[in-house]
Amino acid sequence: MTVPDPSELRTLIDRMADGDRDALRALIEAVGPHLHATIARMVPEPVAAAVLLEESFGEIWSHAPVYDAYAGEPWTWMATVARSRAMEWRVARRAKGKAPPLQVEGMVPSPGSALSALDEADVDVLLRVFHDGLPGGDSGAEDRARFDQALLRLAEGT
Amino acid sequence: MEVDRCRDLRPHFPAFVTDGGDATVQARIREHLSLGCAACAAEIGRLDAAFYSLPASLPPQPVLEGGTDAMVAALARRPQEQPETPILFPDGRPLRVAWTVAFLMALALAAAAVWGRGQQDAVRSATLSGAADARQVRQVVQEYRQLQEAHDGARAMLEQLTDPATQVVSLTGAASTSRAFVALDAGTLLFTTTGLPAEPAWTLVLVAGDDVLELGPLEPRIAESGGGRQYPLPEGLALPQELQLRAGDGRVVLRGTVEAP
Repeated sequence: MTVPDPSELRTLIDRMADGDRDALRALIEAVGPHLHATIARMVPEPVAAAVLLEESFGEIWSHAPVYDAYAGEPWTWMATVARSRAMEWRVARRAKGKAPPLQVEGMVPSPGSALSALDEADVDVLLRVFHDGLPGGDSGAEDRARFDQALLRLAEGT
Repeated sequence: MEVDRCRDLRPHFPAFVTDGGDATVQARIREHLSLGCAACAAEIGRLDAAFYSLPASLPPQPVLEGGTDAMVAALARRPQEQPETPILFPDGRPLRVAWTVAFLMALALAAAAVWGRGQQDAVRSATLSGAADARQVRQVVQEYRQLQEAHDGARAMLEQLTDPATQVVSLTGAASTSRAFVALDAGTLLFTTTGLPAEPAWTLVLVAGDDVLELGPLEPRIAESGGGRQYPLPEGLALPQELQLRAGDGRVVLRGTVEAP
Protein backbone atom coordinates (compact mmCIF):
# COMPACT_ATOMS: atom_id res chain seq x y z
CA MET A 1 0.00 0.00 0.00
CA THR A 2 1.13 3.53 -0.65
CA VAL A 3 -0.17 6.84 0.59
CA PRO A 4 -3.84 7.23 -0.48
CA ASP A 5 -4.39 9.44 -3.53
CA PRO A 6 -4.15 13.05 -2.24
CA SER A 7 -6.65 14.51 -4.71
CA GLU A 8 -9.23 11.88 -3.77
CA LEU A 9 -8.72 12.61 -0.07
CA ARG A 10 -8.89 16.35 -0.69
CA THR A 11 -12.22 15.92 -2.50
CA LEU A 12 -13.61 13.94 0.43
CA ILE A 13 -12.43 16.58 2.91
CA ASP A 14 -14.03 19.33 0.80
CA ARG A 15 -17.32 17.43 0.84
CA MET A 16 -17.02 16.85 4.59
CA ALA A 17 -16.56 20.59 5.03
CA ASP A 18 -20.10 20.91 3.66
CA GLY A 19 -21.35 18.41 6.24
CA ASP A 20 -21.50 15.45 3.82
CA ARG A 21 -21.86 12.26 5.91
CA ASP A 22 -21.28 10.00 2.90
CA ALA A 23 -17.90 11.64 2.42
CA LEU A 24 -17.06 10.93 6.06
CA ARG A 25 -18.03 7.29 5.54
CA ALA A 26 -15.92 7.09 2.37
CA LEU A 27 -12.95 8.64 4.17
CA ILE A 28 -13.24 6.16 7.05
CA GLU A 29 -13.36 3.31 4.54
CA ALA A 30 -10.34 4.69 2.66
CA VAL A 31 -7.96 5.49 5.50
CA GLY A 32 -9.63 3.98 8.59
CA PRO A 33 -7.83 0.61 8.40
CA HIS A 34 -4.42 2.32 8.19
CA LEU A 35 -5.14 4.78 11.00
CA HIS A 36 -6.61 1.95 13.08
CA ALA A 37 -3.48 -0.15 12.53
CA THR A 38 -1.28 2.83 13.45
CA ILE A 39 -3.14 3.41 16.70
CA ALA A 40 -3.36 -0.31 17.52
CA ARG A 41 0.43 -0.66 17.25
CA MET A 42 0.81 2.11 19.83
CA VAL A 43 -2.22 1.31 22.00
CA PRO A 44 -2.45 -2.40 22.80
CA GLU A 45 -5.91 -2.13 24.42
CA PRO A 46 -8.54 -2.69 21.69
CA VAL A 47 -11.25 -0.57 23.34
CA ALA A 48 -8.89 2.34 23.82
CA ALA A 49 -7.63 1.96 20.24
CA ALA A 50 -11.20 2.02 18.88
CA VAL A 51 -12.06 5.10 20.94
CA LEU A 52 -8.89 6.90 19.86
CA LEU A 53 -9.64 6.06 16.22
CA GLU A 54 -13.11 7.57 16.59
CA GLU A 55 -11.64 10.64 18.32
CA SER A 56 -9.15 11.03 15.46
CA PHE A 57 -11.93 10.98 12.88
CA GLY A 58 -13.88 13.35 15.13
CA GLU A 59 -11.04 15.85 14.95
CA ILE A 60 -10.75 15.37 11.17
CA TRP A 61 -14.51 15.90 10.76
CA SER A 62 -14.53 18.98 13.02
CA HIS A 63 -11.57 20.60 11.27
CA ALA A 64 -12.53 19.69 7.69
CA PRO A 65 -13.93 23.20 6.94
CA VAL A 66 -10.62 24.82 7.96
CA TYR A 67 -8.37 22.13 6.49
CA ASP A 68 -6.83 24.55 3.99
CA ALA A 69 -5.43 26.52 6.90
CA TYR A 70 -3.15 23.60 7.73
CA ALA A 71 0.03 22.94 5.85
CA GLY A 72 0.68 19.48 4.46
CA GLU A 73 -1.01 16.82 2.39
CA PRO A 74 -4.31 15.31 3.59
CA TRP A 75 -2.77 11.95 4.48
CA THR A 76 0.06 13.61 6.45
CA TRP A 77 -2.50 15.65 8.37
CA MET A 78 -4.68 12.63 9.17
CA ALA A 79 -1.73 10.43 10.19
CA THR A 80 -0.47 13.27 12.41
CA VAL A 81 -3.85 13.49 14.14
CA ALA A 82 -4.00 9.73 14.80
CA ARG A 83 -0.37 9.51 15.94
CA SER A 84 -0.77 12.49 18.27
CA ARG A 85 -3.86 10.99 19.90
CA ALA A 86 -2.15 7.65 20.44
CA MET A 87 1.06 9.32 21.62
CA GLU A 88 -0.86 11.34 24.22
CA TRP A 89 -2.37 8.08 25.46
CA ARG A 90 1.07 6.47 25.73
CA VAL A 91 2.51 9.47 27.57
CA ALA A 92 -0.42 9.42 30.02
CA ARG A 93 0.06 5.69 30.63
CA ARG A 94 3.79 6.16 31.16
CA ALA A 95 3.08 8.95 33.64
CA LYS A 96 1.04 6.44 35.63
CA GLY A 97 4.00 4.06 35.63
CA LYS A 98 2.39 1.65 33.15
CA ALA A 99 4.60 1.69 30.04
CA PRO A 100 2.52 0.10 27.27
CA PRO A 101 4.31 -2.34 24.93
CA LEU A 102 4.75 -1.51 21.24
CA GLN A 103 3.33 -3.82 18.58
CA VAL A 104 6.00 -3.23 15.93
CA GLU A 105 8.26 -6.26 16.36
CA GLY A 106 8.73 -8.19 13.12
CA MET A 107 6.65 -5.69 11.16
CA VAL A 108 7.40 -6.10 7.45
CA PRO A 109 6.91 -3.09 5.14
CA SER A 110 4.69 -3.57 2.09
CA PRO A 111 6.71 -4.63 -0.95
CA GLY A 112 7.42 -1.75 -3.29
CA SER A 113 7.06 0.92 -0.61
CA ALA A 114 9.93 3.35 0.04
CA LEU A 115 10.30 1.81 3.49
CA SER A 116 10.93 -1.65 2.04
CA ALA A 117 14.01 -0.32 0.22
CA LEU A 118 15.78 0.48 3.51
CA ASP A 119 17.82 -1.96 5.56
CA GLU A 120 16.39 -3.67 8.63
CA ALA A 121 18.12 -1.41 11.17
CA ASP A 122 16.80 1.73 9.45
CA VAL A 123 13.28 0.30 9.34
CA ASP A 124 13.50 -0.68 13.00
CA VAL A 125 14.57 2.75 14.24
CA LEU A 126 12.04 4.57 12.04
CA LEU A 127 9.19 2.42 13.30
CA ARG A 128 10.22 2.76 16.94
CA VAL A 129 10.50 6.54 16.72
CA PHE A 130 7.22 6.86 14.82
CA HIS A 131 5.30 4.75 17.32
CA ASP A 132 7.06 5.69 20.55
CA GLY A 133 8.75 9.05 19.96
CA LEU A 134 12.44 9.97 20.02
CA PRO A 135 14.48 8.24 22.73
CA GLY A 136 15.84 10.70 25.26
CA GLY A 137 19.01 10.99 27.31
CA ASP A 138 22.57 9.94 26.56
CA SER A 139 21.54 6.33 26.00
CA GLY A 140 19.29 7.40 23.13
CA ALA A 141 21.91 9.48 21.31
CA GLU A 142 22.95 6.64 19.01
CA ASP A 143 19.36 5.84 18.07
CA ARG A 144 18.61 9.52 17.46
CA ALA A 145 21.58 9.82 15.10
CA ARG A 146 20.56 6.62 13.33
CA PHE A 147 16.99 7.93 13.01
CA ASP A 148 18.14 11.22 11.44
CA GLN A 149 20.06 9.35 8.74
CA ALA A 150 17.28 6.79 8.18
CA LEU A 151 14.66 9.50 7.72
CA LEU A 152 16.83 11.35 5.21
CA ARG A 153 17.29 8.10 3.27
CA LEU A 154 13.55 7.43 3.38
CA ALA A 155 12.78 10.96 2.13
CA GLU A 156 15.20 10.49 -0.76
CA GLY A 157 13.38 7.33 -1.82
CA THR A 158 9.83 8.67 -1.37
CA MET B 1 18.18 39.42 18.35
CA GLU B 2 20.32 36.65 16.94
CA VAL B 3 18.82 35.08 13.83
CA ASP B 4 19.36 31.38 13.15
CA ARG B 5 20.85 30.39 9.83
CA CYS B 6 19.38 27.56 7.78
CA ARG B 7 22.52 25.44 8.03
CA ASP B 8 22.48 25.68 11.83
CA LEU B 9 18.93 24.40 12.04
CA ARG B 10 18.88 21.82 9.24
CA PRO B 11 20.46 18.99 11.32
CA HIS B 12 17.53 19.30 13.73
CA PHE B 13 14.78 18.93 11.11
CA PRO B 14 14.37 15.12 11.46
CA ALA B 15 13.68 15.47 15.20
CA PHE B 16 11.42 18.46 14.52
CA VAL B 17 9.05 16.47 12.29
CA THR B 18 8.62 13.82 15.00
CA ASP B 19 7.38 16.56 17.35
CA GLY B 20 10.20 15.52 19.64
CA GLY B 21 13.71 16.67 20.48
CA ASP B 22 14.77 19.78 22.35
CA ALA B 23 11.92 22.24 22.95
CA THR B 24 14.20 25.26 22.55
CA VAL B 25 15.43 24.06 19.17
CA GLN B 26 11.84 23.40 18.10
CA ALA B 27 10.94 26.99 19.04
CA ARG B 28 13.93 28.29 17.07
CA ILE B 29 12.84 26.32 14.00
CA ARG B 30 9.27 27.65 14.28
CA GLU B 31 10.61 31.18 14.59
CA HIS B 32 12.83 30.62 11.54
CA LEU B 33 9.88 29.31 9.51
CA SER B 34 7.71 32.20 10.61
CA LEU B 35 10.24 34.55 8.99
CA GLY B 36 9.34 32.94 5.68
CA CYS B 37 12.29 30.69 4.80
CA ALA B 38 10.84 28.81 1.85
CA ALA B 39 13.83 26.45 1.46
CA CYS B 40 13.59 25.18 5.04
CA ALA B 41 9.80 24.96 4.85
CA ALA B 42 10.14 22.79 1.74
CA GLU B 43 12.76 20.56 3.38
CA ILE B 44 10.61 20.09 6.48
CA GLY B 45 7.60 19.36 4.27
CA ARG B 46 9.60 16.67 2.47
CA LEU B 47 10.72 15.03 5.73
CA ASP B 48 7.24 15.34 7.21
CA ALA B 49 5.66 13.60 4.22
CA ALA B 50 8.25 10.80 4.41
CA PHE B 51 7.82 10.33 8.16
CA TYR B 52 4.02 10.20 8.01
CA SER B 53 4.09 7.87 5.01
CA LEU B 54 5.40 5.16 7.37
CA PRO B 55 2.00 3.82 8.51
CA ALA B 56 0.86 3.57 4.89
CA SER B 57 3.74 1.13 4.27
CA LEU B 58 2.58 -1.25 7.00
CA PRO B 59 -0.31 -3.75 7.08
CA PRO B 60 -3.74 -2.19 7.71
CA GLN B 61 -6.18 -3.35 10.38
CA PRO B 62 -9.91 -3.33 9.56
CA VAL B 63 -12.17 -1.00 11.50
CA LEU B 64 -14.36 -3.01 13.93
CA GLU B 65 -17.38 -4.63 12.29
CA GLY B 66 -20.25 -2.16 12.24
CA GLY B 67 -17.83 0.45 13.52
CA THR B 68 -17.99 2.65 10.43
CA ASP B 69 -21.78 3.12 10.66
CA ALA B 70 -21.61 3.83 14.38
CA MET B 71 -18.75 6.27 13.88
CA VAL B 72 -20.52 8.16 11.09
CA ALA B 73 -23.71 8.37 13.18
CA ALA B 74 -21.80 9.68 16.19
CA LEU B 75 -19.38 12.03 14.45
CA ALA B 76 -21.73 13.64 11.93
CA ARG B 77 -23.61 15.24 14.84
CA ARG B 78 -20.48 17.01 16.07
CA PRO B 79 -20.13 20.71 15.29
CA GLN B 80 -17.55 21.69 12.70
CA GLU B 81 -15.07 24.51 13.11
CA GLN B 82 -15.81 27.33 10.70
CA PRO B 83 -13.21 29.52 8.96
CA GLU B 84 -12.56 32.93 10.51
CA THR B 85 -14.86 35.71 9.39
CA PRO B 86 -13.53 38.16 6.82
CA ILE B 87 -13.93 40.92 9.43
CA LEU B 88 -10.95 39.55 11.32
CA PHE B 89 -8.87 39.01 8.19
CA PRO B 90 -10.00 41.53 5.58
CA ASP B 91 -8.80 40.87 2.06
CA GLY B 92 -7.54 44.41 1.63
CA ARG B 93 -9.75 45.46 -1.25
CA PRO B 94 -10.75 49.05 -0.36
CA LEU B 95 -14.24 48.87 -1.85
CA ARG B 96 -15.08 45.67 -0.01
CA VAL B 97 -13.69 47.07 3.24
CA ALA B 98 -15.77 50.23 2.78
CA TRP B 99 -18.90 48.18 2.27
CA THR B 100 -18.05 46.06 5.32
CA VAL B 101 -17.55 49.16 7.47
CA ALA B 102 -20.80 50.65 6.15
CA PHE B 103 -22.62 47.41 6.88
CA LEU B 104 -21.20 47.24 10.41
CA MET B 105 -22.19 50.84 11.09
CA ALA B 106 -25.72 50.15 9.83
CA LEU B 107 -25.82 47.00 11.97
CA ALA B 108 -24.64 48.92 15.03
CA LEU B 109 -27.29 51.62 14.45
CA ALA B 110 -30.00 49.00 14.05
CA ALA B 111 -28.83 47.23 17.21
CA ALA B 112 -28.81 50.51 19.13
CA ALA B 113 -32.37 51.21 18.01
CA VAL B 114 -33.64 47.78 19.01
CA TRP B 115 -31.84 47.42 22.33
CA GLY B 116 -34.13 49.86 24.10
CA ARG B 117 -33.63 52.72 26.48
CA GLY B 118 -31.50 50.92 29.03
CA GLN B 119 -28.81 50.31 26.43
CA GLN B 120 -28.97 53.64 24.63
CA ASP B 121 -26.64 55.57 26.95
CA ALA B 122 -23.97 52.91 26.70
CA VAL B 123 -24.29 52.72 22.94
CA ARG B 124 -24.02 56.49 22.58
CA SER B 125 -20.88 56.60 24.69
CA ALA B 126 -19.08 54.20 22.39
CA THR B 127 -18.05 55.08 18.90
CA LEU B 128 -19.71 53.02 16.23
CA SER B 129 -16.50 51.33 15.16
CA GLY B 130 -15.59 50.69 18.80
CA ALA B 131 -18.89 48.95 19.39
CA ALA B 132 -18.44 46.80 16.32
CA ASP B 133 -14.96 45.82 17.47
CA ALA B 134 -16.22 44.98 20.96
CA ARG B 135 -18.96 42.78 19.57
CA GLN B 136 -16.47 41.01 17.40
CA VAL B 137 -14.19 40.35 20.39
CA ARG B 138 -17.10 39.15 22.53
CA GLN B 139 -18.20 36.78 19.80
CA VAL B 140 -14.73 35.35 19.34
CA VAL B 141 -14.23 34.98 23.10
CA GLN B 142 -17.59 33.26 23.41
CA GLU B 143 -16.70 30.84 20.60
CA TYR B 144 -13.34 30.21 22.24
CA ARG B 145 -15.02 29.40 25.56
CA GLN B 146 -17.45 27.01 23.88
CA LEU B 147 -14.60 25.24 22.13
CA GLN B 148 -12.64 25.00 25.39
CA GLU B 149 -15.67 23.63 27.22
CA ALA B 150 -16.34 21.01 24.56
CA HIS B 151 -12.66 20.09 24.42
CA ASP B 152 -12.37 19.64 28.20
CA GLY B 153 -15.55 17.53 28.28
CA ALA B 154 -14.28 15.33 25.48
CA ARG B 155 -10.89 14.95 27.16
CA ALA B 156 -12.44 13.92 30.46
CA MET B 157 -14.64 11.36 28.73
CA LEU B 158 -11.72 10.05 26.66
CA GLU B 159 -9.60 9.65 29.82
CA GLN B 160 -12.38 7.61 31.38
CA LEU B 161 -13.05 5.46 28.32
CA THR B 162 -9.41 4.60 27.81
CA ASP B 163 -8.58 3.92 31.47
CA PRO B 164 -7.74 0.22 31.90
CA ALA B 165 -9.74 0.27 35.18
CA THR B 166 -12.91 1.08 33.24
CA GLN B 167 -15.07 -2.02 32.80
CA VAL B 168 -16.75 -2.41 29.41
CA VAL B 169 -20.14 -4.15 29.57
CA SER B 170 -21.74 -5.29 26.31
CA LEU B 171 -25.51 -5.41 26.50
CA THR B 172 -27.43 -8.01 24.50
CA GLY B 173 -31.09 -8.65 23.72
CA ALA B 174 -32.00 -6.34 20.82
CA ALA B 175 -30.53 -5.66 17.41
CA SER B 176 -28.38 -2.79 18.59
CA THR B 177 -24.81 -2.04 19.59
CA SER B 178 -24.99 -0.97 23.21
CA ARG B 179 -22.24 -0.75 25.78
CA ALA B 180 -21.73 0.58 29.26
CA PHE B 181 -18.38 1.94 30.41
CA VAL B 182 -18.31 1.54 34.17
CA ALA B 183 -15.71 3.60 36.05
CA LEU B 184 -16.13 2.65 39.70
CA ASP B 185 -13.29 4.94 40.83
CA ALA B 186 -14.96 7.94 39.22
CA GLY B 187 -18.44 6.73 40.25
CA THR B 188 -19.88 6.98 36.74
CA LEU B 189 -21.47 4.76 34.14
CA LEU B 190 -21.45 5.89 30.52
CA PHE B 191 -24.09 4.14 28.39
CA THR B 192 -23.70 4.26 24.60
CA THR B 193 -26.03 2.82 22.00
CA THR B 194 -26.99 2.77 18.33
CA GLY B 195 -30.03 1.35 16.60
CA LEU B 196 -32.57 0.74 19.35
CA PRO B 197 -36.24 0.44 18.30
CA ALA B 198 -38.59 3.40 18.82
CA GLU B 199 -40.14 3.46 22.30
CA PRO B 200 -41.79 6.34 24.16
CA ALA B 201 -39.56 5.88 27.23
CA TRP B 202 -36.46 4.00 28.39
CA THR B 203 -34.94 3.46 31.83
CA LEU B 204 -31.53 2.10 32.82
CA VAL B 205 -31.51 0.03 36.02
CA LEU B 206 -29.12 -2.12 38.04
CA VAL B 207 -30.58 -5.33 39.47
CA ALA B 208 -29.15 -7.54 42.23
CA GLY B 209 -31.59 -10.20 43.41
CA ASP B 210 -34.79 -8.38 44.36
CA ASP B 211 -33.08 -4.99 44.63
CA VAL B 212 -33.62 -2.67 41.70
CA LEU B 213 -31.63 0.55 41.49
CA GLU B 214 -32.93 3.01 38.92
CA LEU B 215 -30.01 4.90 37.35
CA GLY B 216 -32.18 7.20 35.28
CA PRO B 217 -34.05 7.65 32.01
CA LEU B 218 -32.54 7.39 28.53
CA GLU B 219 -33.97 9.94 26.12
CA PRO B 220 -35.79 8.28 23.17
CA ARG B 221 -33.91 10.49 20.70
CA ILE B 222 -30.58 9.05 21.94
CA ALA B 223 -31.97 5.52 21.75
CA GLU B 224 -33.21 5.96 18.19
CA SER B 225 -30.48 8.01 16.57
CA GLY B 226 -27.55 6.75 18.64
CA GLY B 227 -25.45 8.42 21.28
CA GLY B 228 -24.65 8.17 24.94
CA ARG B 229 -25.45 9.42 28.41
CA GLN B 230 -23.57 9.38 31.69
CA TYR B 231 -25.14 8.27 34.98
CA PRO B 232 -23.74 8.68 38.51
CA LEU B 233 -23.18 5.48 40.49
CA PRO B 234 -23.76 5.30 44.25
CA GLU B 235 -20.74 4.85 46.50
CA GLY B 236 -20.05 1.35 47.77
CA LEU B 237 -22.10 -0.33 45.04
CA ALA B 238 -22.12 -4.10 45.68
CA LEU B 239 -21.16 -6.09 42.58
CA PRO B 240 -21.93 -8.06 40.49
CA GLN B 241 -25.17 -6.49 39.29
CA GLU B 242 -27.22 -6.98 36.17
CA LEU B 243 -27.50 -3.84 34.06
CA GLN B 244 -30.85 -3.65 32.28
CA LEU B 245 -32.36 -1.25 29.78
CA ARG B 246 -36.12 -1.33 30.21
CA ALA B 247 -38.83 -0.03 27.91
CA GLY B 248 -41.59 2.19 29.29
CA ASP B 249 -43.85 -0.81 30.00
CA GLY B 250 -41.13 -2.50 32.09
CA ARG B 251 -39.93 -4.99 29.45
CA VAL B 252 -36.21 -5.76 29.69
CA VAL B 253 -34.86 -5.03 26.21
CA LEU B 254 -31.13 -5.22 26.91
CA ARG B 255 -29.09 -6.79 29.66
CA GLY B 256 -25.47 -7.27 30.66
CA THR B 257 -23.47 -7.91 33.80
CA VAL B 258 -21.32 -5.44 35.70
CA GLU B 259 -18.72 -7.70 37.29
CA ALA B 260 -16.89 -7.20 40.56
CA PRO B 261 -13.40 -5.69 39.98
